[in-house]
Amino acid sequence: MPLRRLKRWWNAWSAAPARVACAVDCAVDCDVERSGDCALAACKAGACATVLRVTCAALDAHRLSTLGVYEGAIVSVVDRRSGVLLDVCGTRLALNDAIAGAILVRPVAA
Amino acid sequence: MTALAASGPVATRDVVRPAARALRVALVGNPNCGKSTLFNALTGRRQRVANYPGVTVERVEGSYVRDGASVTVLDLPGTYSLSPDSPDEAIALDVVHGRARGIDPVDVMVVVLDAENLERHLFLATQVLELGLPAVLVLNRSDRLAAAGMSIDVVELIHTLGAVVVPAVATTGEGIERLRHAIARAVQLPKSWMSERPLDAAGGPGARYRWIASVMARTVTRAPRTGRSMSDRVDAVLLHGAWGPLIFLSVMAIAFQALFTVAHPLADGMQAILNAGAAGLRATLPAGNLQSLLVDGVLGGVGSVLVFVPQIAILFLFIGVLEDSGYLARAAFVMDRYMRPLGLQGKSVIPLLSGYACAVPAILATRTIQHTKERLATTMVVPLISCSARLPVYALLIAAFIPATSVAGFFTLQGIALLAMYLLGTVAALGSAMLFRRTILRSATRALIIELPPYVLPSARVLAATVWQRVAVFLRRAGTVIFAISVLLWALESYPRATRAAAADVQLSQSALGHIGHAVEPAVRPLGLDWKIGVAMAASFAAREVFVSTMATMYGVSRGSGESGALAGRLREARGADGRLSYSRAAAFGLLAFYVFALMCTSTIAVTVRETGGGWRGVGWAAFQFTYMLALAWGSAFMVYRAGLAIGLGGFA
Repeated sequence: MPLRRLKRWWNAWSAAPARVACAVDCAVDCDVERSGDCALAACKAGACATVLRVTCAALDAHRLSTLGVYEGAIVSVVDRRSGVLLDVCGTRLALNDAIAGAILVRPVAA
Repeated sequence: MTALAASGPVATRDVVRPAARALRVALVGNPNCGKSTLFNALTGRRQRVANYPGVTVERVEGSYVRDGASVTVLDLPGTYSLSPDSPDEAIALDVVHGRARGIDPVDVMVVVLDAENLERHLFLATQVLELGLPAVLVLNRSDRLAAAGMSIDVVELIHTLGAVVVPAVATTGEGIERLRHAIARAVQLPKSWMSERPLDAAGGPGARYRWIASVMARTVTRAPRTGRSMSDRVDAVLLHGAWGPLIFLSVMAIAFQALFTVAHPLADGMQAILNAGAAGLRATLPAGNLQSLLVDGVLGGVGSVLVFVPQIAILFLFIGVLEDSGYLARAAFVMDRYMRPLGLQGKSVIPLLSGYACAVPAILATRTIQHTKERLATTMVVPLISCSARLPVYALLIAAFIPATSVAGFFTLQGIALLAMYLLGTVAALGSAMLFRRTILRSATRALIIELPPYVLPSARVLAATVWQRVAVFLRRAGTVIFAISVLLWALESYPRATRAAAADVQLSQSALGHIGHAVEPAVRPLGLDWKIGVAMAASFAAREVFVSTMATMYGVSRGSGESGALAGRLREARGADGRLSYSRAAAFGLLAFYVFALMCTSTIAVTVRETGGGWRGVGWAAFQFTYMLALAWGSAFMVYRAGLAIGLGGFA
């Protein structure tokens, strides 16, 4: 019994908070502009997407843009298990779920 | 600000330039572009490290001689863009704009680009070109292009950017001579067209990236990528939610074991050499003040500085390997989730864990944390982690006052007590960090955005240079203070001189330090302790383990082997003038708690002053650190003592 509780606690602790079940490539989970647009946090590994809007704090948005995540940039999701690992013009960029949730993207065919 | 800049170095740039003045070159580039390696290849051994005035950002300068003229190279902190984001980047910006205090204006900018990631690295390069300073772009790691299935049309790139582009390989030294030639010529070349038509005018970073994409299309041909790269496959394991942290903790465990098994013999070896020197001095000099000064004061002081050197060298060798190989960024990312609730970041883990070995290198290790407040919070709590110098004190007090009663087979009460000391320190450190980040060091939590560079094999030359820089900085800045304080403590211990041939314990009790011990007695009385502990506490400010040898002197136990065991017995049976036991078990537990929390370490204080900004600012932070830890120590010792009395631990069964 305590073991089960411990497991539940571990799952809650280690699970990504903003994980959204994805039907296709992305689930509709944010202020929808068009069907299919979603938060980057909702994209699966292997997905490719165009950045539509970055809605986080200005300083973070600036930092993201200097690293290649700007409105109109094309990024692809390499890994989705802890945070989001992105491929941005050939470099690897790691984001946590909070910031990935603030990036609105439109999935494109890879 | 503007007025200052106008009347400052900027204005003098074109006016005062003596013909014989050394050419000044600044290296800029993204983090992980191989800038440090290039810097080493350019300047060789001629380097020196200083801090930029007022901030704790390292300023690394080197020089080389070409055609009889000296060229000074300034290695700027890695930056992704020319906009102030972190203190490191703000410094780079100030230097580039010629408004950094105490730094001469720069004549030539050298932008280091990773040829494999040209698109991202051109972002900074175009910003630098827009400044209109003479600039040279270096296509570093150009030897890897073929393996990556890429080729770059350098001539087209030069035409498009209107600036000199030099392909080079910093690790092998290829192209370095060509780069030196380009630097010498750069001043005479016309400015890039970009200084007249900045890209930002068109609209934000997007415009810049779109322009760069068009440049890439013209100059770079790339074979389509097949399959996952090696780095991605390694990351699939190292970034795993469960395996990642476990692997990181194992790596750290191995590193700390190495720290103990390698650093301790080295430190002991140094101590042996110093002891031999001391014996030599004792044999040649007549006993007296001069001998005592040289042997116990000066050599003792040198020893207390040198003892840190192996630890610092090994810890920074290890951090250097982690950082240069690309693993540190992964570790920071993986551990961030666990440190975030405490208000710290993933990179805080390394200083905190280093704290178990020694707070001095641990505080130096906070330099990897870019965010000022998170770095300060880490620095403030690191000394709460039980370092190796506390172990002799714990061992003595536990052996004296806690019976070796067996509990559940293998474990004894003594072992459990030791574990409890370490846990107490760890919990206090994490709790204090949480408290500070919610009160005095409050700031908005930063989003986690980390670039994960491809894994590379670290260069031995860069590692050696980094370790040497760290050790030199420690010796010059903290070492001098630590040395001065140990000589001061020696003087307090030795003067005023008691009557000739007085026993060591009489001399100690009549010295200035003895008087301090008596003076602090009212403060330790409520903890159930006496002036002798006060003396040992005062003496252990040099280093905590001095507590043991001072108590040995006070209780007339000869120093050396078996000191701790014999002393433990004496302490247990020690009686005051009234014939009652000096130390109750409750008081001993309180004393243990005191040593868990108190900052009894002048070396740590010296390093904190330097690492929190130096000057009065640094002194303020160090004073705060010392005070809060002392308050925590005294308060918990008092509570433990009172609680102990209440449950009947006032004496011995």
